[in-house]
Amino acid sequence: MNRSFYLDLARKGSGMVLATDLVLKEKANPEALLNNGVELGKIILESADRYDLPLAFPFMDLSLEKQWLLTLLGIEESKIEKFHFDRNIDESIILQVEEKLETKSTARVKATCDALRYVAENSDKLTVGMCIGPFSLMTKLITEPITPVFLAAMGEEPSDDASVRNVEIVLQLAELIISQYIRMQIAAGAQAICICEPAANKIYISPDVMMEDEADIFDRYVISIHKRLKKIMSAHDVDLIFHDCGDITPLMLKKISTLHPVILSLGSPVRLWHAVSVVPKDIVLFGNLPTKQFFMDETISPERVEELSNELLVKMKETGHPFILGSECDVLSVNGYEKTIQHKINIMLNCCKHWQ
Amino acid sequence: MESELLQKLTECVELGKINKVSPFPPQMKGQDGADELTKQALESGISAEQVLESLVKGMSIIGDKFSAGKAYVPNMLMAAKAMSSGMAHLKPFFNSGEVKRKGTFVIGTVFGDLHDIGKNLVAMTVEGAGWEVVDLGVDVKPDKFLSAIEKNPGCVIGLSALLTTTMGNMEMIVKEIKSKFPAQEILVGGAPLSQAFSDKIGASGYSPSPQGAVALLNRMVE
Repeated sequence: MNRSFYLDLARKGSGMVLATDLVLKEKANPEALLNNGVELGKIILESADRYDLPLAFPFMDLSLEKQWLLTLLGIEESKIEKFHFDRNIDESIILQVEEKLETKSTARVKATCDALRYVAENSDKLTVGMCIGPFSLMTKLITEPITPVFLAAMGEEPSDDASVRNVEIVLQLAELIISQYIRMQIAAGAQAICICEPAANKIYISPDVMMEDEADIFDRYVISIHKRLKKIMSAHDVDLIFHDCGDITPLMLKKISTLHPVILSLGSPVRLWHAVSVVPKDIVLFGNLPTKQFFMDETISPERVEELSNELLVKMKETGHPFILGSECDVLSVNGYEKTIQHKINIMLNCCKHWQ
Repeated sequence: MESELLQKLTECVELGKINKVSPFPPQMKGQDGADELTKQALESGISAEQVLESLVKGMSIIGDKFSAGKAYVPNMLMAAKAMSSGMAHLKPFFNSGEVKRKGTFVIGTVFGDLHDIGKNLVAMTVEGAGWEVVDLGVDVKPDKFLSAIEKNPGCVIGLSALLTTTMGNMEMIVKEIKSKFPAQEILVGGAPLSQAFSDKIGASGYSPSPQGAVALLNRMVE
């Protein structure tokens, strides 16, 4: 794809929202729909149509890759959700996954790929694939990943510390499964892939152990792996949309920017008008109203949503950086608060229209 | 000598030095950690209460730094691990009643939610402030909280949720607890929460930080 497609969207003052979950939860039996590719594809398109988006984003299901990986390792389905590698593991586990990776997937993986195929074949929207980032997947697979990552940053080697070794093996597993999932989504018609790496943040990686150079833990455990994933995409002319809604530091942001995504989607902890100082001008910044808080008027009123939208639009316009106003993450449906959330999304998108 | 040892113990907790073999922090490599120093302190006749005070002080220092944005989650985790290694030596003194806890705090992430970082941080900080902590884990259903209240009379309950989609479950748990134990104190916390939400669901208190939770708890037993 051409980077100018995304830059044009920003130039037009478009607003964007990742709200497939909102549409999905309006349906009867949404859980069953997650396994039905065609129906899921229709929901993705319904969401894109409702919010007048030229990009069709799938449901941000960040449990899918964990389920797939553990299925390949023979973990019982009922135990997958809470499963963590809490014992020492060795590298033979990688071989176990490699052997089955290309022939065995799950119903959810198949349905998501079928949904993308449906979108690609039945609309002129840009078909966006979605996956979790390897670092975030690792954090879902290790009982307590923070300490080993910290120790690794302080110079502990996998040969010295079993917990560091576990993290590094699980990162390799994560990269394997995600690479394969990306290939499958590309084969299904994805023109861009949104990689969600919310755990690459200062909770999991302590800012006081980060360095500017490439020996840094953030480079080793996050960026270098993403560079390999991007190569897979670039080989098929597929664009990278990078999403990290975590609380990140300017140095983390600078390192993420080296991936040179077409869109960089950030969470509300980041002041976007400050972010522009480290993000190159040909990367569209997207976000980042606190949509996770939209469900309660007491926390964020409709008037406040309008105020925040306008503030972001004004400040970003002043920076001259390409920008699309939108949600900080996938907007999840909250039972009983659906109308409140919807109302605030409409306010946010209407603010964009006023500025167009 | 005595005060030097206790001061060193406080430092070990603050800096996250667990024991002699632990590699962190690099500047203390090869030195005794909270594990060895607690043992030495008790063996030298320092009272368990004084030892506990030193451990708690270390946690309090790192907790304050964390609240001020001068320390991060990994620092808190390392400190909590150092604290635990010292606390293990104090167990007999707690069991005999020689040293008393401030109270019991029962914490869990509400059902439907598997996130545990926030919960763990609060649990560690509260324990480090001298409370006994009963950690029910993640994805905890109302009946588990109810039976914990029965087993731990006078405890304070802590509910954690990271997802907006599971906050409704928090409300349900508060209702169930209050219907059986109307006077039960319940604290709530988690990224999407607010004081307004806490008030709405009838919780006793809300804190956006672990140190805030400790302050709320300490106020309850003052």
